Amino acid sequence: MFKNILIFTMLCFIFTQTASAIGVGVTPGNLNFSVQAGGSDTKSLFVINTGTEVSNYKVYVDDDYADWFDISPDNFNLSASENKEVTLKIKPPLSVKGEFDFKVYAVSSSPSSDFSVGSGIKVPVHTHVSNTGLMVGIILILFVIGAGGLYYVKNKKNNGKNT
Amino acid sequence: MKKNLVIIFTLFLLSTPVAADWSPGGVAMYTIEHGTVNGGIYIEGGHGMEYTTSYTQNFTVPNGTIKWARLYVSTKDTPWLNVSLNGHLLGNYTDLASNPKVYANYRTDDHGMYWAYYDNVAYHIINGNNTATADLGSRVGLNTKSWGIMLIAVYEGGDRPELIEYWVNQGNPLLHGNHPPFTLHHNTTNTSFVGITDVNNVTNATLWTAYIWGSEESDIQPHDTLWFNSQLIAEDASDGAGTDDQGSSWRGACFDLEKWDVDRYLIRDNVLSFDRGEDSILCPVVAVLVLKRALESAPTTRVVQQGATILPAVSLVVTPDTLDLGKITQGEQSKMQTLTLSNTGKSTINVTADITDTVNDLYISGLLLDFDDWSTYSRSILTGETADASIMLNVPDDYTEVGIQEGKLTFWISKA
Repeated sequence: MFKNILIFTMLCFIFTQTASAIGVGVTPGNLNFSVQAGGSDTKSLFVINTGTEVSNYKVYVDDDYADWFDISPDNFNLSASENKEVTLKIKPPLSVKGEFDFKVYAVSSSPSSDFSVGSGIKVPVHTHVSNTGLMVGIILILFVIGAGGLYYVKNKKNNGKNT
Repeated sequence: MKKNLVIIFTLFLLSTPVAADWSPGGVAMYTIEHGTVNGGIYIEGGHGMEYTTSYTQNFTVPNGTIKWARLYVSTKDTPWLNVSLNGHLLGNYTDLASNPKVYANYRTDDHGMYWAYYDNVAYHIINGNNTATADLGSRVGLNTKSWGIMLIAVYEGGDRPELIEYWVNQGNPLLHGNHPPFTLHHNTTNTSFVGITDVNNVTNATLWTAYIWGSEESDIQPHDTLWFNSQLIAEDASDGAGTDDQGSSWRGACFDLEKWDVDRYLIRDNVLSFDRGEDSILCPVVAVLVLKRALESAPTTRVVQQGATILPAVSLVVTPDTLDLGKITQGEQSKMQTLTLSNTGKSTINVTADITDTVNDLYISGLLLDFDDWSTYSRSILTGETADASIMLNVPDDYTEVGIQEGKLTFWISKA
């Protein structure tokens, strides 16, 4: 009788154990940046552990755009239900302008095992890079130089008349 | 004519691209981690310069749940850096001069002074004794050596948890005189700790500094100095005198790790300055600022934000998170296993699969998802719903590898 109770108890224990789950969630579901050439723009992406165990998370961007971004933090651990605010600061090169579409990746991985399972999210990113500010700056500088030049020439003429 | 030249020159200046960030003086230190935790932070390292191809350092990590960690290794004149922690391989860096996780300076031909970091150590740290080993090559070259291995581990809980806020700054600025191989002086470097939300309720502020190169204690010239918000806090801060937590005195006087009390100089945005004085070379590599606060006055904007419940717009949960496909041999097929994919976000998602971190092609060529090649897997899951994915592994007849075969199956989602 005691043996049967023991077996039954062990079976209950085995069948009531829940398997650990790995998960990742993000918000917002997409990111839009608008930046002037030479300037920067910053957005936040919240990464959430939607699994049941502590997991490691990495956040990165498509290789072609990696140099444009400063991502902080880009590698961290989260307990179950915990979240982390990740700051993505974009600073495109001066030479580019236009519309750009690419992805930011948030991926989780479980503690090392022989064959592990992970989950990841590809977050669509749209970026508008304009050079309006730069052009305005150039025009202003040219205007100042031109005005200075005119003043110099005019002043010289007046001085010539006076002598 | 003169006016035209001025305009052309101005336009030329404006159209010149910004120079690259590369600096022969190394990389200035910058903040790579900032956070709060109710626990503690472990900062240790050693054991000083040693000419070797295998460098080992032990660490005694306090109790607590590791939240963030980074292992640093210094080395010089080695073709690769292969580091393990407690027997777990952290990575073999073979491209030392170009690897983004290796700061290189003092480069002459193919040699260099390297400060490398490993950011995948948190899972492998255990409470108590830990051993880190660096493989530096197959033979001792003229200068093959390491100055030390250093570990920073932020842990939650533990035996005496305290509410702390911390900043970790890393880099490897190289300060030097104009002696060969240098042609110019590089005397000072700064790093910042910014955005302290409430200075008034800080009960203790501790600054840690680590160097891998400085003057020896016996040298008589005016040594380096350390300044915090323009206040002198140490002379000869890199003296190389000290011991690690194993009780071993640092050798060679190059490695140095010390902490300084900076309570009275703390402001919202702080600047730490390193001045080499007359030291021929000074190379600071890590600076950590740790603030302790009284528990009752803890809430700050950051803490509140981390404690808030944030619902994901897009989310996937995979159960279970590990798979054991059993013992199988050439020509066999594993038993079928089932994973459950749950869409716990607010949008319909598209799911695909990818396999990474495999040493060989076993999983890439043999894994089946829903009885088809894994690379063709594609599903759409509505919000709040689940989908099962069956998994089997076919081992080819000509497969010759034996032992545990590692790999990682990642389910990628995107908003539909």
